[in-house]
Amino acid sequence: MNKIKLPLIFVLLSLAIMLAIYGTYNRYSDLKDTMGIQNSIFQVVELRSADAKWNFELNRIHSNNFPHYDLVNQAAKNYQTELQLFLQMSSNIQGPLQNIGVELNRLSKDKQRLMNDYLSDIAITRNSFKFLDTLLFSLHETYQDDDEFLKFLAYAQYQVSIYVALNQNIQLKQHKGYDSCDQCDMDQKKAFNKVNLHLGLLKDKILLSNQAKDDFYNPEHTLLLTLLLDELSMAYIETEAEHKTIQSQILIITTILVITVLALLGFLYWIYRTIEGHRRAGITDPLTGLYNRKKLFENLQPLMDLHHKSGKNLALLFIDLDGFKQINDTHGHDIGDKLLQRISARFNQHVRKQDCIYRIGGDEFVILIKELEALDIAEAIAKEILTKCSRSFKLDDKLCDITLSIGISLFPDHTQTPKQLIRYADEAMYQAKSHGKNQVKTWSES
Amino acid sequence: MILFAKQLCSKSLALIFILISFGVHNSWANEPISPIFPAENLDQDKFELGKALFKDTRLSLNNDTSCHTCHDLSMGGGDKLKIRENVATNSPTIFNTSKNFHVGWRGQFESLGHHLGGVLANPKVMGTNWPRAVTSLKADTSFTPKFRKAYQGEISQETIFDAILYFETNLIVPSKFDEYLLGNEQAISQTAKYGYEKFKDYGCISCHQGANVGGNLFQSLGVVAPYMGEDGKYRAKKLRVPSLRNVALTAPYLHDGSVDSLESMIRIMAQYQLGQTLTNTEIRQIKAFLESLNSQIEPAAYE
Repeated sequence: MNKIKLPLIFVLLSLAIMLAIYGTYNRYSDLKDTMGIQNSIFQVVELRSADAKWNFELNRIHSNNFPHYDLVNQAAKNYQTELQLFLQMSSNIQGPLQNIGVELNRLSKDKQRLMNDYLSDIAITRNSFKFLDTLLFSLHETYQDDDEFLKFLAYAQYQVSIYVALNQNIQLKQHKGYDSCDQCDMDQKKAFNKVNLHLGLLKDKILLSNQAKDDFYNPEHTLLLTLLLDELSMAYIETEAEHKTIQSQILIITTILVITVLALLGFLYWIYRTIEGHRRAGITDPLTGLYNRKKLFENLQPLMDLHHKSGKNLALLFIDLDGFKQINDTHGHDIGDKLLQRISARFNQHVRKQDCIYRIGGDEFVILIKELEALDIAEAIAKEILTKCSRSFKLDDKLCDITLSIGISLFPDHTQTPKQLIRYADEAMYQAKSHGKNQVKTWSES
Repeated sequence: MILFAKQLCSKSLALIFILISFGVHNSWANEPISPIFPAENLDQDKFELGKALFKDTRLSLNNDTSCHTCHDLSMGGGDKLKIRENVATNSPTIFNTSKNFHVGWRGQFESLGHHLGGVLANPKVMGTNWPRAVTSLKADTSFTPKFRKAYQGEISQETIFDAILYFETNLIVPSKFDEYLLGNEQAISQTAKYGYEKFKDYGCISCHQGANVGGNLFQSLGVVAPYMGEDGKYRAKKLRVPSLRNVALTAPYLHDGSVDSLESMIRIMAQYQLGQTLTNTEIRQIKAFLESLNSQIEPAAYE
């Protein structure tokens, strides 16, 4: 695995996870409350039944000889309470609902006011009917023999019938009748005025109560209640649909999140397995992370076979540090270890990709240079390494200078066996040491 | 949506039950006046605390007025005055007020709580200084055990208000006439029974009906003929029809307290609202009926 790609994949996966978590949070925080809408719908149902009860009680007034206004007042009060409760509940719901609520509140207040007027009118109306009935009957008794006055009484009786019909919103045709009392005596005149007064009162109140009734059975009121339910259902459906979308989005985001986490875990496990496998196999050097002596011996024979087939050369560079023992003694083992790590890193920078580096002893390294066309290239690489490593190393504010001695052996020119190849390189390295260190020597028969 | 359907089902079931129950007759179901009953499951501690606060003058601005000042429980819940200084109208009775649907002569208060809040806040009536009232009640050791029993010892504006409202709401005292409605023929005199019949026949009942014999309707005085008052100063307005319970105890009458005796009030009402002239016997009978509407107040309970 490439050194740069590894952290890049890590960063990308972490970013994906963070993005998924943020996305989920963002969507969830946008969720609207459907409970409020549901409760409001239930409240509208309550409100409609309260409205029906109110209208029912209003109509029931006429089916009772002695109407009992407590019941209709109670129904009206219940309706107002339910309405206030609804307005309170739905105050958080956006949209045209609020306007309907305000309008409904206004209409309800109007209805309450008109009902109060209506009740006072019909109390008088109903009383006037009873009163006129008794009055006309007693006048009939008194003036049985006065034909002229009886005609007036009959006309008055007929007027009462017209108003009875009018009270039911039935308009009967008005006929010309006796509306003057020229030959009446004083008592008759009094009675005449009294009857006419009550007839007039009756007519006024019936007209007023019919007017009030038309006003408070406002169709707009019922329409608004229906509209309210429609609006709420619509709001509910919209919010619910939004929730469905958000839910599916959250599902997708969660799936991505799970897959990413699993991939990340798998990747970590794979890295762990690789490192662990290498450690178990005992083919890496724990200090520098380079292959060790064992791996060199494992690799060398197959590589030789490969080069044998391709007919190319394989060079073995045997590197030994000059005076490493001295550095250990003067600066301590810590510095020595660090120096080895730094040198390994420099080797790594200056070999070609296909070449392998091994640490086979304390301060001994081997570099295998593969697919070589000519010995010159191997020597050039060795010299390059030599030059690069001769620059001072800065370790814990201390400058360390170190030189290398490098011996080179070549397959297949020098030998065909792995052991010989290593030994020849070793010998060449010793030659370099004996020739004054800090140089490269190629093995030669001598 | 299933929940919604369930709700609808239970609604329609309830409606059917209501409709069925209308068919069931009670003994007073055909009477225009329905009997009242004393409050059930009364929290006696709260009620007594409310009564004590009802009479406590520390709730007023100058420590000289309590609810009891205008609504004297020993005077039928009124104050026997024409109009009290600073107040616009005659004080109606406090007994059975929770059976009214509109509170105040103009019906300007929707409920007892609304009225209580208005009166306590009005500087012309009570003008309660709440911090001072709460402090002085906290200092009064006689109130401590009462508040402990009723409100776990919490003395605040809310608990004081609640206690008074609780007392007013549950101050329901039935009369002899309620016993009569419930089947006790001997509960009221023969004269009162005649009076009740006249009350119905002449049509007084058109407005004075329901549990509180009024209090659920608006009407102006002068339906048949304009009423100017005995001194010609009365100005008719559309006002709440007052409850006739305890009417015999709460003279003077009308919202301005301009009529002194019940007899003349009955006569005026018959003349201007119904166009009837009553004989003295009829007036006496109707008066007997109205007296049977007096709450049976035990003097010891409301001293």
